Amino acid sequence: MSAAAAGAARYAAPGNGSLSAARAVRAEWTKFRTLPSNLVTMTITFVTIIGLAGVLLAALAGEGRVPATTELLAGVSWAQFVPAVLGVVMICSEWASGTSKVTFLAVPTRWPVLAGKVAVVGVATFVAGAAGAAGALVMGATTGVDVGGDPALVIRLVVGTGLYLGTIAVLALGLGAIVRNLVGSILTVIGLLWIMPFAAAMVPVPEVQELTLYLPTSAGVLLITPDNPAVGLTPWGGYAVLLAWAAAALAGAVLTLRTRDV
Amino acid sequence: MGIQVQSLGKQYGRTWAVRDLTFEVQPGKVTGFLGPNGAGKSTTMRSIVGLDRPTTGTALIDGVRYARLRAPLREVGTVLDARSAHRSRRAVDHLRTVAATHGFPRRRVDEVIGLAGLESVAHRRAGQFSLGMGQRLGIAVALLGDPHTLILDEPVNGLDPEGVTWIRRLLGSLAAEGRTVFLSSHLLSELALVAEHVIVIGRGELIADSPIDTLTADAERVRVRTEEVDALVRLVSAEGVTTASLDNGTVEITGLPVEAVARRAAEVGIVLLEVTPIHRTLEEAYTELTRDAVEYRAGDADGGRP
Repeated sequence: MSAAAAGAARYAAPGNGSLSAARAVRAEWTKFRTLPSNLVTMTITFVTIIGLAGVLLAALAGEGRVPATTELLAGVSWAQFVPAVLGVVMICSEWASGTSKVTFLAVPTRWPVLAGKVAVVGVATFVAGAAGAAGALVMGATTGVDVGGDPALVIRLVVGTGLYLGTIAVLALGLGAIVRNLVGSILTVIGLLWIMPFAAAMVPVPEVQELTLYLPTSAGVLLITPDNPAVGLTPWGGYAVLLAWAAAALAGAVLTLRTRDV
Repeated sequence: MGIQVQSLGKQYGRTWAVRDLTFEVQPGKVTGFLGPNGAGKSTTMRSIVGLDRPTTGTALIDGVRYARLRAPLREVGTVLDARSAHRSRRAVDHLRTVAATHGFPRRRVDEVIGLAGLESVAHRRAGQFSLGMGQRLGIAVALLGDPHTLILDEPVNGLDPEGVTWIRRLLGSLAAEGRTVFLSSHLLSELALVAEHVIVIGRGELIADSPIDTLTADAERVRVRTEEVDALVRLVSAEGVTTASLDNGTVEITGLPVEAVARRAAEVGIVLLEVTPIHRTLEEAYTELTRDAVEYRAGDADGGRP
């Protein structure tokens, strides 16, 4: 055994491989696809959006009413919980499962790990969200909703659902990297994405109520709602606010990864 | 070459887990890193490989800080924890994710699975692994890049006897190829089987840094029974030699080999009725070395990280 081990170890060929940011990103994709639960999570996101559109159609049909195109995506606000948790789990499970040491021993520069997770969770959630939105709209079109009337809106809704959910997932990932503890991170995300808008709306001060619009979910969701000039932000303006939240969370995440012990 | 630790200190809150630690680990042999639980072994190893940022001092591998390595896995293989793979991921996929960071070919993953003796379980999820299989998987990861330096934290923990033999041979042959092998343990008996050199720490500070034989060699003791105890004590009393008289004409002489005692006695005609060399076991030497450290730590509730 000893001779064989030594011989193989000496002969063996790791090739002339070396670390690069691109390879670190690839490794994150390998990680993502080798956990069966991730495919399940993506499927749940997709199915939730379509399923809630179906529930809505059925409910309104009972009242003899046909929903507007944007109403078909009302379920996204519920479905977003899934990518948000996914974002948190992708980073926090590194510590919860003990893989963090292996991960950061292989990539001691650390930030490429975060970049890889951003790319993977962002793209995967974009695909699931856009596909879910497309499915919901197709289902609406086949049941009498006037979806084809505004092609530009359709594109904004499909792409927008993907972008919105993908960015929510990335924001959650960034917060998870800062908080690191799984439960603490999920509570933080729920607080920022769901509780804050409700809480702020209850403060009877007009200035606070105006600021509510700039919270991540309130601003971001404008991308998949009808353009309303009465609201202080355009759909894409609202998305830009969400992006800024995600960027701030990622900046905090990079700083935390750099300075905190693994 | 090897590992150079220079004035390393690591503070958690107000507690120093490691303080002003300086030592070198030479390539070409297995070096043990010994100390009671909580002595700072893991902290030191984590600092060497850049997971912890030292509060003071530096730790270099072949002259370079770990974080600066271009291809860290080809320079250093590290095992810090028997449970280092995601429970739901298959062992082979765990290895592939690590290999992907450096672009190692799939063939290499298969090779290290063979090296670690994991062929039959490679497609099982890591959550089903025993502690010993987890250690083997960790070692497989460490060997991926065929590194020149190996750092292993308590690698024997959880291995069955066959696994212990396996790792002893593996580490021995890796060292024989000129690699640097540095492994920790809180049990001296484990290290004594594999290490040539030993670095002992306690309470985060260096206690000993010496070849493993000299831990015992410097404590030669001979128990002698003679009717002329006083004459013998006068005869051998010299620098570095201590004597302790026991009951019924027996005296213990520390610091002289048994042959020397017998010869000196014969020269002056002292009759020795009984001569017994007393070897201090490694375990005794270790216990003696770390006694103060352990006592202190036992009363030190907010001790360092384990």
